[in-house]
Amino acid sequence: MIQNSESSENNTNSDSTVKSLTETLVATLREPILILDEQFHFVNANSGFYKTFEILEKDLFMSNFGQEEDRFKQFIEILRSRLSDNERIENIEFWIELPASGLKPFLFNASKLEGSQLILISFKAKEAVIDDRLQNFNEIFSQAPAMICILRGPEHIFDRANENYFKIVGDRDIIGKPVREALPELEGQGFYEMLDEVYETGEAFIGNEIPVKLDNGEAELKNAFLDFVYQPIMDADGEVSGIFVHAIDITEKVIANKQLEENETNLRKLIDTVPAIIWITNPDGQNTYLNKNWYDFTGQHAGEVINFGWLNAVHPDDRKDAKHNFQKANEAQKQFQQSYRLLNKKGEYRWVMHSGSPKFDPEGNYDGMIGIVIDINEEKQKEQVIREKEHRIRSIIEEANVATALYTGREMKIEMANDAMINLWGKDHSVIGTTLHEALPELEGQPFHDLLQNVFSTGETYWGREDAVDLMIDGKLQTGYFNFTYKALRDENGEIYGILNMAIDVSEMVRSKELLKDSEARYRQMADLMPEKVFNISTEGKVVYFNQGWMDYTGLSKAELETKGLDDFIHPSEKKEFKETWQNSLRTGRDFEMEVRFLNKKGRYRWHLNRAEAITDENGNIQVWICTATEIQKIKAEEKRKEDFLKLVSHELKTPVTSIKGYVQLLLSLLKKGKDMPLSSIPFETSLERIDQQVGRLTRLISEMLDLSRIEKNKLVLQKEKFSINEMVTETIQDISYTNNQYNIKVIHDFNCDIYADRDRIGQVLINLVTNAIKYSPENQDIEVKVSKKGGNKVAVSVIDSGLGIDKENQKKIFKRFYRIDFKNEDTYSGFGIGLYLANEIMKRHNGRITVESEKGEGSVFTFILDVAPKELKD
Amino acid sequence: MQDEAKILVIDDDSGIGEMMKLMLEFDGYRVFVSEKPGEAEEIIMQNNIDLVILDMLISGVNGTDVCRRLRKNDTQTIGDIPILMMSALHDAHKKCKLAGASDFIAKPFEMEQLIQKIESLLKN
Repeated sequence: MIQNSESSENNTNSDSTVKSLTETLVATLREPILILDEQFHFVNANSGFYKTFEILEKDLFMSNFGQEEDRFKQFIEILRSRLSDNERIENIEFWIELPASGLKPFLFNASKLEGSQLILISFKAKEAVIDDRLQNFNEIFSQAPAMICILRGPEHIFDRANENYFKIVGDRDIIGKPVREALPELEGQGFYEMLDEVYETGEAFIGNEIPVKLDNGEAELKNAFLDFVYQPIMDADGEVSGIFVHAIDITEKVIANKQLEENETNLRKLIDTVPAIIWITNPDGQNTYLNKNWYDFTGQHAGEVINFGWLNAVHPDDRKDAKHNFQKANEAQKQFQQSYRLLNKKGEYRWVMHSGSPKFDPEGNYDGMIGIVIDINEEKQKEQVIREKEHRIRSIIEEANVATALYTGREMKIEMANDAMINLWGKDHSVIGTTLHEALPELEGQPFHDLLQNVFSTGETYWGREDAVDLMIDGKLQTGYFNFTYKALRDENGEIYGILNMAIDVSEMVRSKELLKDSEARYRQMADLMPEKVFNISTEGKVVYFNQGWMDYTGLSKAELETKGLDDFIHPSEKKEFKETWQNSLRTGRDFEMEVRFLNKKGRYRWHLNRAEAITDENGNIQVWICTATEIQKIKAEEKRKEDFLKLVSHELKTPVTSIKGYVQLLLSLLKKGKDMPLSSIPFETSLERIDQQVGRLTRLISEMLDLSRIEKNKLVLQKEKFSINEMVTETIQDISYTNNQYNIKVIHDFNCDIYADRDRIGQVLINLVTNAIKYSPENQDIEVKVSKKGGNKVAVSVIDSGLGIDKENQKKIFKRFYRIDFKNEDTYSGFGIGLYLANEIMKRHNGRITVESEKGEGSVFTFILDVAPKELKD
Repeated sequence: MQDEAKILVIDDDSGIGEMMKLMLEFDGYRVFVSEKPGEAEEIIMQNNIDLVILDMLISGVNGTDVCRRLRKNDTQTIGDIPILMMSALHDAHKKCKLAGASDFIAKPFEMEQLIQKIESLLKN
C-alpha cells in the first residue's frame, strides 16, 4: 500500500504493494502514454511519449494540448470526433511530423477513465514499410542501431567503427589507434582487461547493463549503460586476430526505468487528485490500493479496507450482491459494473457506481483488477423519479381500455403491452419481453415492421386508419381492421428509444360499412336499371345521389348533377311548394309526395310524381331519404283530357236538360196559373216540340258516349253488308233536311257504287259531318254532299260548307278524342265534339279514312273515303 | 216587378235561347236573344237593355271574355249593366265573378231561382 494522507501507519505490505503497482504501471506504461482531461488539456504523459514524439515535458505541462502542439492537431481532431463516453477506441491511425525522423504514422487507443474526466491514450508506431529489402552490408553496418567496431591485434587497434560507435565516443579520431590510446577514459573501468582476456582466451564476453563513462567531447564524462558482446575474430589458422564489438546503448532504458519509479509516484499523486475513487486489487481479489478519495468518502482508514473490509461501508442490503458481483468478475477476469449504496462519513448512504476492468502483466498473466467508484446518487434519484413516472405511465396504460403497447429499440422489443393489446393480438402475457417479430410472426410480409422502422428513424407518427391486419388468433389467421398510432418515444436527449402503439379494433364497423357498401352498390345498380328517376337526399336536404334515369333525363353527368342540385330543374311555379313540402318532410320524417314539373334536356318541363321515404337506422334515426320521380306527363295530359271531357259531357248533357227543364217548369207554372188563363194561350205545341228535339239530342249524345266507350274497350262491333252508298247518302240527307229545313242540302252523285260496310255506322259518320256543317255555317245555308270516284277502286263522300272554316293547326287535332276544348283557354268552346273522333274511328275500322280541307272563314270540305265493294261479293 | 224590363240572352245554343225567351216573356220581360256575342254592345245600345244573361261557353268565344269586354266599355249603359252569367259547370261561379259578372246561375236552373236573381239585379 502506498502512503497516503489517511494512512499514518507503516504498512508491512507497503514495499511489495508499491512494487506491484509499479509493475502494473510499468506494464501499462511501456508504450507511449498520454493523459488528457476532457477539454484535451495535457495532464500527464510517460517518458515513452516524450521520447517517441521528441517533445519535452516542460513544454507540455499545463498546456492546451491540441492548440499549443500544432503537430498533434490531426490527432486531437480524430480524438474529438471519435471518442465517446462509454466506448474505447482502438488502433486509430494518425500521422505526425517528428523533428528528427520526419512524418511518421502511429496507431493509438483511447478511452475515458470511468467516472473521471480523464482520457487515457496509448500509442504505438505503425511499422513503416521497408521499400528496399536489398540493403547491403555496409548500410546495415553503418546504419545498424547498435554500436559496432572491429579491433585488430593484441593492442586492440580500431580497424572499423560504425556511425553509432563514433557518436558514442564523441566522434574522436580512433581508427588506427589502440583502445588504450583512443579511449583513455576507460582506464580503471575494466574494459581493457576484458578485451585482453577475450584476445587471449578466444572466448566471447557478454555484458548486460554495464555502466560506462565515456568522453563524448563534453566537459563531463557521459554515463551510459551498455549491453555488449566482445566476439573474438579468428584468422585462417584459428588464432585470434581481433575482436568484434557489438554494443547497445541501453542508457535511456535504464534511465527510463528509474524515471518510471518517479513517475509512478507522480501518477499516484495524480490518481489521488482524480475526483473518482480508484481501486486496485490483486488476482485473489484482495485490495492492494485505494486512493485518497475512498478514505475521504467513507471515513474508513487504510487498515479497514483489507480482506474485503471495504464492504463494511456498503449498505447491508447491497453488500452480498456487491461482493458477489465483484468476485464473479474477478474469477472470470472480466469487466464489471454494479451500483450499490455506500455509507459516507456523514452517515448517509449514497448510490455509487462501482466498475472495474481486469489488468494483465507483460507476460499476459492476470494481475487483478483496477477500477473506480463514482457517486451517482443524484443520477440515481433522477432515475428513481423517471422510474416512478414510468411506473405511473405503465399503470395508466395497464388500466387503459385502449389497446396499448410500448416497443423499445430497433428490434421492437415489447417492453409492455396491456391486456387489451394482448387480447387484440390473440396472444398471452408471455409475449412481453420478446420482440414484436417473435411475438407476432404473422406480421411478416405485412407493412407494419417497415412502418415501425420508419417511425423509429423519422420520428413521424404513423396513423393507421381502418388498416387491415392479419393476426393469428386461436390458430387461425384472421383479418381485423384497426385505427392505430405508432408514436416515437424520445429520451431526455431527444433520441428515439421506442414506439408507443395504441390501437382500436374497428373491424365490426368496417365490416358493416362494407356490407353497407355492398348493399348500396346493389341499390345503385338497381336504381340505374329503373326507368324512373331515383335520388337520395341527405338529412340536411341535400341531394347525395342521382341514378342513371336522371342523367338520361337532364343530359348531365352525375358530378354535374351533384353540384347543380335539383332546384334548377323544378318548374318555377312549383319551386316554393316543393321546398316547403320538403322542409316539412325533413322536419317530421313523414313521407313526401308531390307532383312537380322537371326540366328535361330539351328544355321542356314534364310532370313528375315525386315520392320520398325516409330510411331509418335501428334507432329510428333518419339516415337518408330515398326518392323517386316518375314521369306522369302522359297520365297528366290524359287526366286533363278526361277532366275536360267530363266538363264537356256535363255541358253537353246539361244544355238539353236545361232546355227541357225550362219548358217543363214554364208549362207547370202556366198550368198552375191556368185558372185565369185559357189553355189555348199556353204554348204546349212549341214547348213539347222543343222538348222532343232536346230529348233526341240527349239520346244521340248518350249513344255517342256508348260508342266511345266501346271503341275505347275495342268492343265496337260492325255489322257489315253490301249496300249502295248513293242510296244511303240520299236517305240520310232527306232525314237531316226534314229537321233542318232552313238549310239547303244539295246531293250530287258523280259516282254510283256499292260498299261493304256497317250501314248504320257509315250513316252516323255522314250525319255527324252534315250536322257539323250546319252548326258551323250559321250565315250560309248552302251545303253540298257529293259522291265521287277516288283512285282506282275507292269512293269518296264529301260534305262541303261555306261556313266558319278551320285553321290549319286545328285541322290536325279535330279527329283526336275529346278535342273540343282549346287547351290554351279551357273555357273556350272550340266547337268539335266526340263526333269527329268517332267518325274517324269508324272509318279506320272500315279500312277507310277521313280528311279535311279548310281555311279559316272559307268553309270546309270533310271527305270520307271507302273501298268500293268487290262485284263478286253478294248482298 | 218592373214591367217591360228588357233582357238580352246570349247563348250559342238556340234551344236555350228560345226556351228562356218564352219563359221570361211569360214573366213580363221583353227578351232579346243572340247567338253572337259580338253583337252584344249594339243590341244593348239600340234596345236600351236593362240586363244581360250571358252563357259561359259560347262557340269560339269565352263568355268571361265577353263579360270583361262589356265591363270595360266606356259607355256607362254598357259598362255598368247587370250581367247574370250562367254555365253548366257549377264551379265556374268564381271565374265569372272575377270577370265582372253581377251574379251567376248554374244550368240547369230552377225557373223561380232565375226570376229571383233577375228581379234582384234589376232592383239595384
